Amino acid sequence: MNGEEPEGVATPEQLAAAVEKYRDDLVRLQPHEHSTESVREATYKGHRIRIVTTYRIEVDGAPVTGHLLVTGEGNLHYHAIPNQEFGSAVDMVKRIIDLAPEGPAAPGGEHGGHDGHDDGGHGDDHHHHGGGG
Amino acid sequence: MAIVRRNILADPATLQRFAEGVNRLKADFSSGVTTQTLGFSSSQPIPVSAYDQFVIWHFVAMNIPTPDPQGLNPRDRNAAHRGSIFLPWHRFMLRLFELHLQRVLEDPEFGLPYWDWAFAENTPFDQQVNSALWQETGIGGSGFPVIDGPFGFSEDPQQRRFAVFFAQDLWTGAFTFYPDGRGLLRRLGESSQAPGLPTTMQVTQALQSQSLYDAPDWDAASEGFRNLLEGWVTGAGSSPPGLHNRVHAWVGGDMGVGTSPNDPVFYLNHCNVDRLWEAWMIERGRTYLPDETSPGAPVRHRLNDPITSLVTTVTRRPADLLDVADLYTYDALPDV
Repeated sequence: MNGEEPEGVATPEQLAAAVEKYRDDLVRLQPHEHSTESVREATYKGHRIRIVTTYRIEVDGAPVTGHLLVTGEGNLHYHAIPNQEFGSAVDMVKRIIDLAPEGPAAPGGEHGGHDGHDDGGHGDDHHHHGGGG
Repeated sequence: MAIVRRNILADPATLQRFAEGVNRLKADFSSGVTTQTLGFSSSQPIPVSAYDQFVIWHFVAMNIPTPDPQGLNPRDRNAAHRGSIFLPWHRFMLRLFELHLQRVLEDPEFGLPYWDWAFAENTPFDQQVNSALWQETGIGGSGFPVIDGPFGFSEDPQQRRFAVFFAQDLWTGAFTFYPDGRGLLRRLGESSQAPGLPTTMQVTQALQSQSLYDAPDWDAASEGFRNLLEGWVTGAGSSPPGLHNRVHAWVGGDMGVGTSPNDPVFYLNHCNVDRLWEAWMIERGRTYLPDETSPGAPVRHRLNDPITSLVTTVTRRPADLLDVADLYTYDALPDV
């Protein structure tokens, strides 16, 4: 920018070279453990406040395990829904249900499929990697 | 000479070229990057398209937390969102995407179009859903899969125009690979938090009410233009999500999750966001906060912190991204 751009900045070679150069960042695509606790801290009249919140969420018996945070304002932020915050956990989970292309994987159950399409070509062929952050 | 970015709803030829460019990037495997390169273990590596490499970059960036100098990150700021870097990071992303579109279209003058999503107050919600953008002759409408328009899906690979291969799983947050591809998911206007798109009054309010780009704590609770445009706070008379965030929520489906660049409307939304930032800077000056002296400024969000990407080895700082007038302009800017 500022009127200067290196020649060849947007080429197939650059696409390959960038992935190689920042290979360490690709770990973000892999499964990782994240805390199920959300910690809020504040200082008030010289007193230190610390609130630890843990949510255990299930839908149709299946756990919902994406990273979530309770903000200082008391809203919930679910990392996999990056553009919204929620005033209640129930509203947050309703939105997960709205956005998810497939239903939850209940113990011993199956994923849902496309509207009006069979599940077979997609639901069983997923490769799951990475965490919510 | 600077290229011109145009209003997609006013320029059918640009819409067609945009769609053509997107589908060519979806079919561009010339980088040689595969799922194995990305660390997926499978019996046979699958090539990753140039288009999908941007999806992956966006997901990776939003999974890089950016705490403050005390190690705190109470509002989940990350390397691309919920913080000051939001606007320059996406400006960098869009510029690189635009350059790749120029490459596959063999048109160095092609400008990424924007979607001016603001509606007049009290515009009926069904009028918004039935806008020309969401028709067969636009970019298609709701569905799972979306079947109309240039990004429609077909079970027949010979008939297929567009497919999603990498998406975030809502139940686990995991990055998921669909080897056979699936169709795009859109649910226009179905979010209870965002039944309607932003209004022109809300845009004007954002442009006119803020004289500072950003402020401590440089996150989703901050005052300043950036946070108002990103949409974590709103002006009087409305509730979050606002502006940019509201558009994501309103489109729904794939636009509602961390792999939102899967829906090409992502670029149209962000191009309008960039356009609004440009209008604000022309009026307020090409300034940015925080810099390295700003209290509590997190690394990766400061004026001279490098932005890295998974699509080029070139880096840029916010300082490099404030003045792009030599590279591109907009056919029309809102009044500030």
